[in-house]
Amino acid sequence: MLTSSKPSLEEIELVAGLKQKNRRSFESLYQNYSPALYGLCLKVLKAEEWAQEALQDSFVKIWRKIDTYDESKGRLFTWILNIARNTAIDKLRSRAYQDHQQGQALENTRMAATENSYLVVEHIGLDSLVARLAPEHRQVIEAIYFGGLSHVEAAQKLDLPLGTLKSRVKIALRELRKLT
Amino acid sequence: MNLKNYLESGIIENYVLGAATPEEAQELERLSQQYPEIRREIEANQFALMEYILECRQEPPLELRDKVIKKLAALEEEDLLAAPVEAKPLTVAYKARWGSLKPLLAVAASLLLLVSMGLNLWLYQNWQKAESALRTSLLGNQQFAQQTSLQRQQLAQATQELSVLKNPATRLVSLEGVKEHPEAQVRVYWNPQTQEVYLQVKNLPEPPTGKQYQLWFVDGQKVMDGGVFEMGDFAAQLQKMKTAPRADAFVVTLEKAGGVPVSEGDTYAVGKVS
Repeated sequence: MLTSSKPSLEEIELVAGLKQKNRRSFESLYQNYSPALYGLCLKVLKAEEWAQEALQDSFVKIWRKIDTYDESKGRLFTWILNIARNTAIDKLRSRAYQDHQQGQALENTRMAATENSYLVVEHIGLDSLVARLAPEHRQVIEAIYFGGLSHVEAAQKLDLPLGTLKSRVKIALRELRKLT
Repeated sequence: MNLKNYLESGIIENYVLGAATPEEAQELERLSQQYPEIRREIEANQFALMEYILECRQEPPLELRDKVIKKLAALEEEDLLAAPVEAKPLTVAYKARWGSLKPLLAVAASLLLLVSMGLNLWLYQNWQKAESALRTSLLGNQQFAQQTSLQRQQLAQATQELSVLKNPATRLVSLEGVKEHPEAQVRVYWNPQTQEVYLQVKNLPEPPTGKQYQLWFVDGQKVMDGGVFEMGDFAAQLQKMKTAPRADAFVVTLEKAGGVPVSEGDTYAVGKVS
């Protein structure tokens, strides 16, 4: 439903309703899209309370900016994913989040002996896209899309030459396209 | 514009992953309206990424739905309150018992209404001006912050380069062009202790589309991949390559973009570790 290049009739109606700030349209938007947006925020922020806040802020932004959404430039889903990603990444870079993470890191080292410190359990099967993508390709997508890093930052973090990172980004998306 | 080069430049992938600069994004959006190939390429990448994102989807907690809906309802109310209120001054004061004063009052009321409308307009314009000034200054702040962060990155890079060059253990290996490519000249800085390798292009022709230069470490009979490197704006910079534990020579060849595990292209420059 989401991944064809032409919007469905439902989507056209939904967009019209959203632009009129119709409450039912927003409810339906939440119903249909909040799991994708919430999953995205969780992946970026790795903490439920932060992801919830990001999700709520995203809907506020959608409400405020829906007038600027231009159907001719792309699908609604792409547009709202963008809003949610930007919202989550702004939070990720915020002072408050950094402080929170430091506190969390202390907490985690305290508990590290007993359990894995991953805050979010990802329920992803072995046959999933994510699992089938080679780790080095997954890594660059994670660092750049979900981590919001620039090429230079990502190259530093992954300890790769910038040239290698850049070509890896291209290959990663090409591989991803082959798998879908 | 060379469409094929543009499609392969990596800008589209960056844009889709949200890593393009605002200028790149703007240009790409403009070009995508012009060239259907670009638009198709963007969409194909976006849809692949969407599938990836969709796999990570997760139901938010139930109570969040009510919170969001309530928040939106509050925004709706705010919007309604902020809508311009029509000026209706003085109608309440108008009563029949003012009989003879009626025409006079009507004139006065009209005048007041006019004054009030004029005042509203003036206030509204001022408000607009202030808002646009605020927006401009916010934008300025943002640009300044971006610039600062860019400069900080450049400084960090320069500091790192300096520390590599200053390190007495770092060895300079000059790679000279082979017979077929006498103009080729590349410098490699190698620190056998930390095993770090940096490369700087002195002179190399820009590679054709789909090709990239690749560095190799030669250790006796073994040839190891040293990674590909960038040309264009990056050519003059020190580029960090893969680490080399041991090497008695370095070689640069022209290979398929992204690099190959075993060299299959032309050799351009060779340098022995002295």
